[in-house]
Amino acid sequence: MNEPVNGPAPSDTPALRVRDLNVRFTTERGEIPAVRGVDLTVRRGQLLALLGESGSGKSVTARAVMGLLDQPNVHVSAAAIDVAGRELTAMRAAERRRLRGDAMTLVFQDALSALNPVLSIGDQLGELFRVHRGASRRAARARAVELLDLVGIPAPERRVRDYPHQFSGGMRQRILVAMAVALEPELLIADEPTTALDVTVQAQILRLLDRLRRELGMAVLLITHDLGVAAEVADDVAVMYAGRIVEEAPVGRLFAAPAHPYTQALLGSIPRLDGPREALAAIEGSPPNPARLPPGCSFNPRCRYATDICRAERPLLLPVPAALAGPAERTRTAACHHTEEVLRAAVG
Amino acid sequence: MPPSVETQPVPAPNGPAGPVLSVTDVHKSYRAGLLSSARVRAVDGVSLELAPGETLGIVGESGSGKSTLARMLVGLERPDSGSVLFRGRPVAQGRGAAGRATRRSVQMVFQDPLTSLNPRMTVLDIIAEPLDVHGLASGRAARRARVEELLGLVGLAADMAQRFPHEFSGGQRQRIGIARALATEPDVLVCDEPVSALDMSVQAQVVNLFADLQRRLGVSLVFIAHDLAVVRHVSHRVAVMYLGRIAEVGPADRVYTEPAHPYTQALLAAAPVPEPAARDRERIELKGDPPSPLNPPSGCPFHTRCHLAQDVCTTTVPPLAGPKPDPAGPHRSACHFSFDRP
Repeated sequence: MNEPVNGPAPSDTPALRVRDLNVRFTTERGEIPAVRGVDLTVRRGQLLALLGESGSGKSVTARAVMGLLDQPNVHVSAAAIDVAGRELTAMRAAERRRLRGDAMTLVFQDALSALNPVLSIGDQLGELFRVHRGASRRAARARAVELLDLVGIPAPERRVRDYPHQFSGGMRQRILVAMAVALEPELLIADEPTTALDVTVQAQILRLLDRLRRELGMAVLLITHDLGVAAEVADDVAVMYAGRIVEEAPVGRLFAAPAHPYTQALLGSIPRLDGPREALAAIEGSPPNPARLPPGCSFNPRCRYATDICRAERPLLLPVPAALAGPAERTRTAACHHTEEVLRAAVG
Repeated sequence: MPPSVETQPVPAPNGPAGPVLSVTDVHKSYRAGLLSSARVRAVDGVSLELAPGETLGIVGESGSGKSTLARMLVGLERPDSGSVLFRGRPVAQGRGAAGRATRRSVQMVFQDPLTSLNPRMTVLDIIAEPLDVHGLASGRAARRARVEELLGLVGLAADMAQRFPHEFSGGQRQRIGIARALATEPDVLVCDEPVSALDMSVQAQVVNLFADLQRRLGVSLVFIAHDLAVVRHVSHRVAVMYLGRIAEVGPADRVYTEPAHPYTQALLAAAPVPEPAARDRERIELKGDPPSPLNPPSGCPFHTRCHLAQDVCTTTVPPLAGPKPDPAGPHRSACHFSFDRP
């Protein structure tokens, strides 16, 4: 009954494999396609950043994978959602619930509202071992202390009895990370885990996530809007715009030579800590309303490469020609009619 | 706005005109709770000057007191002690014409354009409200013409005046907030996190707008943000705040390339860099969170997290001081060990 659900998967099975994920919200004003045909693969030990602005569909993607969108006005469909080889789309809600917190876990942005204010940290951490592993109260408490130590909470034997409000924001986020890694999941999804934190504390939490995924061999899907955060910890980056992935590449290649005009424009528009303080190359316009997407490529009204074909025909997410992809051990993909031109601009 | 516009801050004229804003040793504390006698020392002795046409950036983490300072600069809060003067007149007090004239001259741009714009008012009425309050437009035609002029100034079309805030994107709403702040032709704009609520692809537009407005109107800016790169981009001078005090202040280029205070050094090292090759850079990592302003440490407020801390730091508050003024402007740091001090 209390057998661990996550038996060892063959090491070549990806921790997460998503194929053709679509999420639609039904509102009074009609259907809103929030996620459109997303494919994702995250290997064990890999940290993939899913980068996008508000409304791009990145958080909705995360919630769909976790099975947290079971609501009457939300329609989720996918050809496949595999977590460590287990197919989630065919699973009953109860089975999926057992996987959550065990094989796959989620770290939220706001640690204070994600923790129960009337239970001690030890009780909340220990509950995981008691419910999922059938551990005794004493054993669960001992594991909770170990976990607090693992995520760098000083004096864990004493702090395990404290309540959430007795911890600082950074410490609370560490506790959430501890809960997320408690049962050594195959997949950890972190949804803007450092956005509410100060810069100095953000650096600590990013370092912690990076260390844990190496030590525990977890796959991490990091949802972020921050190019800097992605550059600091990601192995690979998938960029979302208007519900679709528009580009995916190893982090070094993406920042050195973006293959999609949106990525290129974003990189050009952010202010830097060094370099000249000249005018920022601002992107014209705003992200599109998901209910009123332009025809063809969703980025075309803001794109400086856009031509007639971009306004008529949606570009598919295709491998970048090897000659242009650069020295990458993995293939890169981009959804743009003018990828070659964009890549040449980076070189030139 | 044409994207070719230079946003390199124009050299701030530091002529005989003197500062537009002078802040002298302001303190502000709040009661920690309804039944509590403890007080949060939000701002704990800050002095600053703002020159005409200058942009002063203020960076700090949550609890550093930067927003409380902003509210005192525009007169929304009255300091417990110390003074905030606009061209020699206090901004928070003063009835009658003189007081109104002062408040008219120092305006504020808020972080969240959705909550700071009345959803039931048209853009016309939102922007015209300060004109009405200060009696700056006589007659409907003049009022309308002035609002259309202001919309043009911030890059919005004149025909948007009849619409309501919810019909605009985040970036457009922030432009409306800026147009409203500019309506009274202020000499000083105080901007509290003006771009942090905006999507990243829209931030650059608004950052460029500030630089453009300053060049065209000569307005002085106080630009408060937690994003170090944004602040560097717009500022002539930068002040770094920590627990209600200024840790370091100086010309932007100096503060960013030769930070003198260990907190500034740690802050710069912690900022994520959008450059994967920079991952392995050397950096000072701070332990723990900023202490609570309810119970700030003795001596130097930063000593609990500082890798340089010695006994003197736990007992003696370091003065904000620096070497003799150099041509780039004074660079000062509140650390016992900055600038090779003993």
